[in-house]
Amino acid sequence: MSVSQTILYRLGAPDHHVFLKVIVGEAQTGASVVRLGSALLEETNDSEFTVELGLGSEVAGKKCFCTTVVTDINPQTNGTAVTWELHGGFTDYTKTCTLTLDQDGDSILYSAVIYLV
Amino acid sequence: MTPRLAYLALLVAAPLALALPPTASQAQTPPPVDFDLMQAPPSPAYVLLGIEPASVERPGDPTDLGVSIMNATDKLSVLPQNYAVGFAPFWLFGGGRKVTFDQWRRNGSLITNLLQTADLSAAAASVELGGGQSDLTSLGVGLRFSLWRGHVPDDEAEPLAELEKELLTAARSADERLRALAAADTLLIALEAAMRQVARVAPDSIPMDLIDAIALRNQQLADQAEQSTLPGRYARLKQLAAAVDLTRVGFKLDVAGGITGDFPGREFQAGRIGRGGAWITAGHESRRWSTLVVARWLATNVQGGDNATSYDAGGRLIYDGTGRLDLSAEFLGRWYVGDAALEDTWRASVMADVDVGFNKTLSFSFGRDFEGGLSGNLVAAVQFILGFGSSRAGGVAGS
Repeated sequence: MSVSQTILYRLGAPDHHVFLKVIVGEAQTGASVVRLGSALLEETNDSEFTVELGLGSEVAGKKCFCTTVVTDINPQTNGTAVTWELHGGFTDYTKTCTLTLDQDGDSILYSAVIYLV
Repeated sequence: MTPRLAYLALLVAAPLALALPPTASQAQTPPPVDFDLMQAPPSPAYVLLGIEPASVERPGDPTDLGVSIMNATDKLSVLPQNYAVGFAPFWLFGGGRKVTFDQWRRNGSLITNLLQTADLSAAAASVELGGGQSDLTSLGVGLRFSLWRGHVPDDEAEPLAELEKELLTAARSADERLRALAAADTLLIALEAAMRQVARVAPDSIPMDLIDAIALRNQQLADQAEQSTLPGRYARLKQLAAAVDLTRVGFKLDVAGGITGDFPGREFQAGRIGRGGAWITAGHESRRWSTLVVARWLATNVQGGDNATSYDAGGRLIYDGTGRLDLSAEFLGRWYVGDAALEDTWRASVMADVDVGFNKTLSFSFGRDFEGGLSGNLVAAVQFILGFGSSRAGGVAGS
């Protein structure tokens, strides 16, 4: 079972830079891949990172994939959480998804599909 | 076809396509309840009830929810009489949603440490008094938190790096598979085209049911991508995660306290406050050796209605052996103040905790307990502590 989040992000001024921030929470480990269309923007093990998607005029109508695999390593909880924050558009956007895993060491796929409109 | 008509046509077709076939996750039966999610809490109430395996508790990270059953065995023939349940509000109620692993592994600020380690617990113990007296049931509640919690040392960098490398490989695989599925999915392509057409005309008026249909299709594709690429990698990740030792080392300072009530004859109406107390445990822990000291204040409601106030001070030396055997020795003095006619006393004991598998511990204790207890002052017990919880190193806060 995976966690998927579909986001429609309304862009603002064409000359505003649009940013995506990702946080892998609950003190778990994770790795993320961010693409705008097919273009690779980021591959990282950082639990918290920000990536620039581009100017509003450049990203309008495009689709951004953010794929994160999380492994439960925190002995204090089997909860997992991923937060996506978008800045630079019409308004700021924040969404956190959570899932509690069955056992220590289990993993889960979080994916966000962001439509920039 | 106008965007509106295209959208309406899709809404008719989409539910049929979205309903079939069910994804693997939808077809699965619910997983069995896994009681190993819960860990044995080192409840401060155990100390106040006088049934603690060790009077100098070892600092540790509490789990979000835990249950322990402890029994001082009588030829391994009696049912357990001592129970504790504990929970860490910060982790149980979603406080950790934006806490990253890097932040967690370090020693945080006093407030951060307090919030992330606060552990509320309750415990119950039964004592058979004998001699014609009614049995005594005691209930206690306790609170424990760390002000300094130590840190996970850098020598875990290598197993962590291997885990992170495998995680990145898994994320790349899922990303490739998910994008390939999305690119080949005619229904998703059609739904997205309809959405874009509406968005070009009226970006604020994209119908929610169209967005919901796209979201549902994306969820189904993500489930397919996961099922087709990740199960093998998940198994590998589990192996690598188990190899990471997250035991905190360095200076630690814990604060704990609680209160108990005694119920002679198991009669609620006969209940009275039994004992209250607060204490500080401080020391330094490494992977092999731990040196801890404790300073404790206790107020005890002794029989006859008098109150006795006492202060404990002592220490404990712990040697972590092979990872399955911990040896320790402790000594505490107890000094009474006030009018109660109680003499100063002391406790000294040696302990061996043997990990007998998956959060089950056999604790051997030998020595001399404080005077004034209900069941003599000889410490000679084999206690079986059954925790419903994690088996990962660093996961079970020590007794």
